[in-house]
Amino acid sequence: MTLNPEHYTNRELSWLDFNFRVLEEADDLRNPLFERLKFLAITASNLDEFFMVRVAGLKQQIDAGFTKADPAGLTPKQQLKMVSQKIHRMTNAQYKTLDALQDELSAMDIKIIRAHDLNDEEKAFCQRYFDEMVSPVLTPMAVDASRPFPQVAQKTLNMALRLSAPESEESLKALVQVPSILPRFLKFANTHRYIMLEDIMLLNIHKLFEGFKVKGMVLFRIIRDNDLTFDEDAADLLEEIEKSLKRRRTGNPVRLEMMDGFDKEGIDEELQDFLTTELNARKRDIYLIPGPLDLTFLFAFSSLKGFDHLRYSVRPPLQPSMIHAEQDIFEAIQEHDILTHHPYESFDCVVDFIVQAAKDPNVLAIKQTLYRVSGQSPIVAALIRAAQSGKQVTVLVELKARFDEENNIVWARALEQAGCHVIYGLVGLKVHCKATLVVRRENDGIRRYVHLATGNYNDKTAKLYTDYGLFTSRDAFSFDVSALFNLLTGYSLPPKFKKLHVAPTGLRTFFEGKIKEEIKNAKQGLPAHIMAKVNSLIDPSIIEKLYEASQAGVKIDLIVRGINGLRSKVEDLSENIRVISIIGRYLEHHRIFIFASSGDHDVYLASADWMQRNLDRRIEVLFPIEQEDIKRRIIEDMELMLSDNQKAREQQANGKFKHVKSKAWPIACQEELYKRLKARHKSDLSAPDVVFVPKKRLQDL
Amino acid sequence: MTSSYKIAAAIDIGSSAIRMKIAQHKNDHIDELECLEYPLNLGHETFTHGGIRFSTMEAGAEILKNYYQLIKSYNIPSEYIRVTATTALREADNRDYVLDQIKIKTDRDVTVLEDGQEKTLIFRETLRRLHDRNYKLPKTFLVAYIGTGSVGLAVAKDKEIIYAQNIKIGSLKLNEMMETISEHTIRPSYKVLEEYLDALTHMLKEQVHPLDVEGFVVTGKEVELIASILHIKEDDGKRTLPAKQLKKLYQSIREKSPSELMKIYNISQEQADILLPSLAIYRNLMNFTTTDSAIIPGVMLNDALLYRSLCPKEAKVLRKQFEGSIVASARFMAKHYHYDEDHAKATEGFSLQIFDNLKKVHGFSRRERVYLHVAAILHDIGKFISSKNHHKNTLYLLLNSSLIDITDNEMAIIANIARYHSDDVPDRSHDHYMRLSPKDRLTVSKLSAILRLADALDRSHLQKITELDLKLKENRLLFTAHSDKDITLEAWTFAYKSQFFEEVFGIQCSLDKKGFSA
Repeated sequence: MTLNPEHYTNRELSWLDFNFRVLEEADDLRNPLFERLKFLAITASNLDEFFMVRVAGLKQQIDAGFTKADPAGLTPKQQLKMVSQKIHRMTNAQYKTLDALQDELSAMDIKIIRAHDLNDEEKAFCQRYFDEMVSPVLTPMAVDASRPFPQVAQKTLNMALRLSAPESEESLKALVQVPSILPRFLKFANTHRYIMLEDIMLLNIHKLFEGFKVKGMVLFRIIRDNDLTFDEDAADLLEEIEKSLKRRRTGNPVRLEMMDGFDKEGIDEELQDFLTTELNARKRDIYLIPGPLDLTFLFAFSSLKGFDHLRYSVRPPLQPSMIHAEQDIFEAIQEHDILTHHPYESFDCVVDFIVQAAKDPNVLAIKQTLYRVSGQSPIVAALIRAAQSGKQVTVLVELKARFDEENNIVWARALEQAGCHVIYGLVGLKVHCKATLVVRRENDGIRRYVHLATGNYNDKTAKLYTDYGLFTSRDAFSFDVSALFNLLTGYSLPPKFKKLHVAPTGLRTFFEGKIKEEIKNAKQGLPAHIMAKVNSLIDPSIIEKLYEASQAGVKIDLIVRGINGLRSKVEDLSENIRVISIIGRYLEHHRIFIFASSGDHDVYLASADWMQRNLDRRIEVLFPIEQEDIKRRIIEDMELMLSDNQKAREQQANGKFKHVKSKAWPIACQEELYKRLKARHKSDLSAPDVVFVPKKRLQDL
Repeated sequence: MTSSYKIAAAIDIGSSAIRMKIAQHKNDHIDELECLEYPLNLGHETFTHGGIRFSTMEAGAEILKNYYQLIKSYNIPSEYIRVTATTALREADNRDYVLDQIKIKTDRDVTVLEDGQEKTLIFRETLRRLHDRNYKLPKTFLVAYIGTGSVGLAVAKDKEIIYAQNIKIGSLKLNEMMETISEHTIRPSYKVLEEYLDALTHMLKEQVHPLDVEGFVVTGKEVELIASILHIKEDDGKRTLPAKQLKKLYQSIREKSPSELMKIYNISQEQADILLPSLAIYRNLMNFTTTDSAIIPGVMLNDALLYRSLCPKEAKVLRKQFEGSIVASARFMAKHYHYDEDHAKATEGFSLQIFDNLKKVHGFSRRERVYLHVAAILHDIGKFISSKNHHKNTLYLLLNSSLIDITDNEMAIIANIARYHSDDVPDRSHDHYMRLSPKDRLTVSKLSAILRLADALDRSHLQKITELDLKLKENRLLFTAHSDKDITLEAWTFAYKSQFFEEVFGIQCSLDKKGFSA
């Protein structure tokens, strides 16, 4: 495949664009103030992860002398340069946003006070707090010829100090970590005034260095390239290096943040030079931050008690419209397939499904893939009970889910002790599919119940991520999901699947085949339309196929939340492709694929994105929707999402995303979907679907 | 279980993989629940080293344990679990040790099927499925089932199998042969393969030549591989493989190496190894028939085993019906040896009549009736070699032949029955007789005693007796022969041969004649 670089957007730059879109939400005055703080926190934690995985990966490519260009034609060096420039812009934008948000908070008398603005009472409180709580956990470390620069843990806040002994010209350097075990900010009683921990230290730190004078202070934070853990997300960057060269880790920073205006205006230049030299930071990697470092503290801040009026109004999850509240879940599934839509509809039914299966004496076996399960998961508890009562319980635990590992290991042990058959993933392949199988003995034979989903079995994230789940007891689905588990347990070779399409063996060919089919239909003058919703679209081969389809006259509507390498609306390339990205209250997470199929509309849901890692390095499942009413519902949902003109940004021919211009009736799909489901829930199940039809624009009337 | 359904599991320890199917019989149809396959190259070890390595056996036991674990999640009663092994394990020098170890490690026995048993199961299930799915079939067709170790061929005519043969050239064996060949010649090895297979069809033609074989039915994992490469889809539950496509595929791959095939078709080493040989076999057999497409009913050994577990009544009926095929193929063999058809028919008739009248005396089941029937058809085929010692020639021919649905041991019983139709009676000095179990020896004695009388009643081969009446009165069996001809020869022979009958059954026989004679 020869790629024209102009037809692609670089993955890293595209991701940064996405993070900019999240930042827009922090700026959007229509969002409640505390939610905006949270969006800002999200951009910060996203960026940290980006540095740890992606920027570190690029650096390693460069250090290894790797010069191959990506599909967009950029060498690792060029990418790093552009990425760095963009992040500098982003950082500035983040703190501009923070300023604006703080102004709005001040207007409501909610203030984060700097050290020099404290009143005496507050100062006294801070002194006490420092002496009693902070000081005991501090370990100051001097740095001089005999004491080398200490290892500074990544993502921690640290203070560098310049000290001078009385009657001595010589200055001494020291480091103190801002303790991460203490809350990052404190509230002054009976006020809405807050102070950051580092500011409390700022006021009192001299107490640690009796006999010395504190001449300057710099607050800094670091992420290094050797902090990168080799995981599948960086695999695309590193696998070629892995082949040729042993990876080299320099331990150099990929980012060194230093606060500008911590103890005084500007920054202590001597300390800045000292840190830069000692940490071996390059100029490009230094970020002077005009505000508090590590904005992830805003997660905690935005969750402060008592500001509910500054948050989204509570939206209780609905009872899924396809299940009656008192109905036996197995009976319900026997009658028809059931689609659930989270977080609009409650995730409880999924938990109940497992809980009921665990209790039911006729259930012989339960099999489930668990990936990123929450700590006190009721699902895990139910599985343990099921195993204890003698059922065959098979659980696939994927331990490679980043940052969750310790958590996973604890409950995986508990499952094993209860007698579950626990499998810890497959060699070389991450198991990303979400599937459950319940084998039940009934009067007329064995019946198997299946749940397949686009999102994880995590009751916590199910309140935040938009996902579909499907319950079915169709024989072909049960057969396939059984076979999938035989594959995961290593009992069998991959079988011939009847309904499912499974990566890495068959999913890519499936997509290519379906796109080809649409191309063929377009050429024959039949309806040809592809609607797809993914989190990321970066697979070059899929992008090429979509271009080909666009040129053949296939209409293509894409919803891509994050990374997007495709360029839409480009003349003679992708004129028939429209790409939007929706960033809203909920994290858009479902993967939906709809092919016009000459008018029949084939609807599929999947766990996979259009990325190489999903199609080639993971176990992913795509499943068809066969029940007509569910098919129709998904198509309607999809059409609604595509018509969003509030939270949707549309890609322009120049590659940039801009809010959809709308003089029409405002449509925020996340709001509408909830309303739609609520209406459906209220109306009798047999009543016709309530569909909201957007009004026509004024000029069209 | 008080429920109205049956659930069963079948495991097949084959030459290149261990396979399992779990199915239930629900609402009058068989519903497949699980289908597993785990590669294990037992065939390679048996065919090249003679035996199975300990480590391979251990790997096999692990696979079985996994399968038993899965079986647990369906609560399948023990009597509904069938574990069988075929060629690779059967032919391994150390099979007894391997079986013992598997039993110790997995706590479950493995039944080793004879080649003929395996093929019979396949053919019977194939015929059933062809009927079940309403395939349109010509009057005569060839059924081929390629195993890794041998090819099973059967010719069916008028819905009965009339000829069945196992040829020891499985796909894996052929592949190994080709590897050796390519080291010794610069000719493309596929040419040598073609020559080798031509010899096979030549032999087949000699056996089956009086017929025009019109149809071709193929089953087994090799054809499944080909069907998936050619994207053969089901149409109304039926699959067919056009000869053209088969030949085209053969031509396009015949000069490619297995490693090339692995890349082109994204298949495993095991699959790549057997692809060319099995395509060559199919192509060759397809040429033997007049059809332009093969039928793929998709029957595997496990399907046949599951049917027996899930539909025992129907399977029994099927087995009974299949006796027609045994008789038809015995007759087909007899014809091959130019038997006296009229004499055989008379002997069959008398034999079965005596058998049926003596039910209370001999206490045999249907199966022994089949032995007698087959022995009656084939008792004189030794004359094809020479009339001198023809009964011994018959024994020799039968011991070295196979018949559909007849195991090797059953064949030995039949051969012995046929061997004792003439002068000699069973004797402890006869090796072939003593090789049988005491029970089987008794069967031979009783049935040959009957066959001897029946044969005597047509001693002249002129079918003089048109009708026979039998009456059992206490310890006397009265034969009344209807004939308008002189039956002195028959009566004399009868008197002589009834001595052994009396010895075996303790029943005295007497023959009366009814009717005019010159």
